[in-house]
Amino acid sequence: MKNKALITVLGWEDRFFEGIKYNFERFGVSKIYLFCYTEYADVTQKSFIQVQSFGINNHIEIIRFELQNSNALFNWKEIQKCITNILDKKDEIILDISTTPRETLWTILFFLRQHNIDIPFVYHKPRSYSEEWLSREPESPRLLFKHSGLMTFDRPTLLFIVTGFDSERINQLVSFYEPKKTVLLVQTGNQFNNELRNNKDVFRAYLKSETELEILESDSYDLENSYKKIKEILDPNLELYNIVATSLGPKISGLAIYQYQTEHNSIALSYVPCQEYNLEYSKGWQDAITGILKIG
Amino acid sequence: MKQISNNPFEYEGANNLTDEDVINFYIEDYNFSRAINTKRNIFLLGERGSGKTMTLLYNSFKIQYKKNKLLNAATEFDKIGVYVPCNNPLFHKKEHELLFEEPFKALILGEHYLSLSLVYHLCETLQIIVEIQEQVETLKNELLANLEYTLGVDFRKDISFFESLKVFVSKENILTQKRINSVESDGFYEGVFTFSTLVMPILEMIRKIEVFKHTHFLLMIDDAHDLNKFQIRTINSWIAYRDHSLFSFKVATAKVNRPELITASGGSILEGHDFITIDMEKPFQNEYSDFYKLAKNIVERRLKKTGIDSSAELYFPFNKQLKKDLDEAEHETILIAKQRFPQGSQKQISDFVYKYKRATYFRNRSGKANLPPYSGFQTIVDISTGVIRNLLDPCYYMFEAELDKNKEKIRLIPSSTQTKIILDRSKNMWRRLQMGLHKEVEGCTLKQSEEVYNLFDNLMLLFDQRLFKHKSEPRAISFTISEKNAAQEEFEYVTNLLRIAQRAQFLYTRLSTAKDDGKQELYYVPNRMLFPSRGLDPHGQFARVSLKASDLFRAAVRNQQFPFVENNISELIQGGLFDEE
Repeated sequence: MKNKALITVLGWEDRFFEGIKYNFERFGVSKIYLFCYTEYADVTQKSFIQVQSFGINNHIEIIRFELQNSNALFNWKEIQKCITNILDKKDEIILDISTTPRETLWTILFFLRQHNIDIPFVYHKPRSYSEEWLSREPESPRLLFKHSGLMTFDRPTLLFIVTGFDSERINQLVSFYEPKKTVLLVQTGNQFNNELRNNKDVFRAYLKSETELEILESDSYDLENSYKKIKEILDPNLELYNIVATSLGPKISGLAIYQYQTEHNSIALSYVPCQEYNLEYSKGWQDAITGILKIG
Repeated sequence: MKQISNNPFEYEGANNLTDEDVINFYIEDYNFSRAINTKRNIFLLGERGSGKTMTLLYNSFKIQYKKNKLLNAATEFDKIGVYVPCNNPLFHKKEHELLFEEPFKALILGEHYLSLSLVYHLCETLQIIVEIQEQVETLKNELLANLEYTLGVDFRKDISFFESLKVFVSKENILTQKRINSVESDGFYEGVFTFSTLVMPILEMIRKIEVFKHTHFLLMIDDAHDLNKFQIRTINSWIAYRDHSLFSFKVATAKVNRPELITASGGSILEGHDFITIDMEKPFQNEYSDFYKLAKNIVERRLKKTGIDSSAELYFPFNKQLKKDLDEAEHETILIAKQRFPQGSQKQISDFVYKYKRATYFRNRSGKANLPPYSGFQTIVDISTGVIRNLLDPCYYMFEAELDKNKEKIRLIPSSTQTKIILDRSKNMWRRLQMGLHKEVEGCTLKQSEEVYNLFDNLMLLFDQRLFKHKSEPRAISFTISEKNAAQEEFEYVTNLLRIAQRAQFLYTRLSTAKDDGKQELYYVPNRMLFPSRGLDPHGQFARVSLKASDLFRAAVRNQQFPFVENNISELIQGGLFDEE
């Protein structure tokens, strides 16, 4: 019988350990492949002890891999080793994306997809997000290795962003890529005070003098819907622009963008590494969204 | 490409303008044009908005050719400017980092993309020339056959010569990326081309076309600061090339984090020997300065294009009360000068008046008065700090504010609107500083962000004290750093903070001659848009304030005020008043 193996990133938020318990109950996980950022070792120590203890009590094997914040090359190679290891063992994979930074998520997906498998995923929504800030001290935007698209000499740049609560990262992306056109996809609804924090008027005020701006809306918590919306926006622009895409909003949109990129590898995936994440990033656990990502 | 909208002051990045807009809106600076059209390698330095791209674009052959056609003027082919933009996601790719164990391969890969890009833009430039199409078509097969032999590749023969080359390099570009992005690739592409294996043979082949027999190609590389370190070293190697008869490079780059001058082989290129540098940022903004004249030309041309025939000064008039108060202050200062220099020459009197009249105005204002009614075209030029984008920004918002009130043709911007917008934009700048540069400048920490704020806050306090109390140089609003060796660590710490401020365009630097030993000295010029909301005079004078490295450090890190002395002897030795302002 195959092992059910969870792949996740060690986090300090409440939803991390709540998510572990949920995943165990729901999926019968017997192994956890745990990516751990060394820079956050202190703040994630408590979570790790909880997971370790839970693992012992429930006969779950925990296999830990170390990653380094802002060391893209090191992380790429470590994740490659890990995923190769996992696939050699022929475990059944479940991917918990809740506390997984986008570049880590996309890198994991890249190595998983070489084996043509559909990937079950789970995303744990918190009860609330910090009202103050989520991340800061952004570094320069980067293109993901092997997802940097097929760029031509003659096309202008289109920057596509699924927006989130960190509007400064949007300004940084626009400032860095200097796109001719920017398309923002804004989350609908007022969960987590979304209308105030993900505010179209603010984006317009900041960006209208910097780029041609188009602002659209969608529910990015639904994978299929998110993917369809992305496809609707980007398909007509594929032959007109060099497209750089990123997700700053709901993590599910990160999956949708990745899915789209696997079908249209001419677009590039970008992310903005940050030096610091708020230790009060989120509180509590609300519910779980599950699904299957088909990128084989 | 986008056309300028109804607001004549809309600032659009030069790359987003149509060719016609570039021709219509660019005010030619003959110094720059002359320098660019030489066979020398040139670095054009300047932060965003200083006009680097516009200058390169305007001097590119594509624009000059179109301009000549519009004017029915003959086109010369002795120099052909080829504009090569680098702000393309192609140059942001990171796969070369996967070649960390083989840096030579990373270097060659970078050169490959650059070389393909150069050839693409070269061909795009030349294929617009109507006069040579027939001749090129006649020679096409011979030229392509020679290139096929030299390069060991095949070209399409069913399209024009230049189109065939474009198609070839475009195909190579995509093939390279596909290969490198593939799972099995280590990040390298075996079929790489270099400048000497691709660009040089093509340039030499193009020289076989009669009209290009003696052509010198000006290869204009824009936004070089966007390139990775391997590509920068590659360009430096190209710049180090001894023979300048066939081509030269004009490289536009930001000032802060200016790319290194090291070549691919670890040598370096030398100023004066291998290249010269042109600083695009204009140090002087007084009405006699080149920048003032340039600003005036830009504004008046933009107004004319939208059907408004007015001088910049009339379109942006001074507040009447301000003018009256300044005149009164001048009168008062004349009286003081005559008292101080009873036998003084006319020059002595007028120098004194020029130096102190504005300070007298500020000192005469009641402590309870509102902020001064900043207005007038000179004020707008002052707060631009010599950067075109900063000139157009408040003008844009002033015009928009008038549009909101009045949809008819806007004949002038009332001084009240100018004051309101200037103060709004000034407060906006301070808000940005308060919110923190760690949100916008890569590598800036929260702590540094707070320290930059402290530094500027304390600088303004110092300038305020000087404006109201300093006996000799009340309007000094730029500074130099002294006693660097005595406080080496503090100096390095502060320099980092100043660099952050520069990248966010809160600060500019100028090189000028030091008064006491004639050497070049770096002047730091705060963005003058910071001054109005603090009630300070943005129309400074050249008398820079010398600040100790240790004082700068304390101001930033401990939020300590700068020491202030009403009369500093060393600052009395300043030289002529018209040195800058």
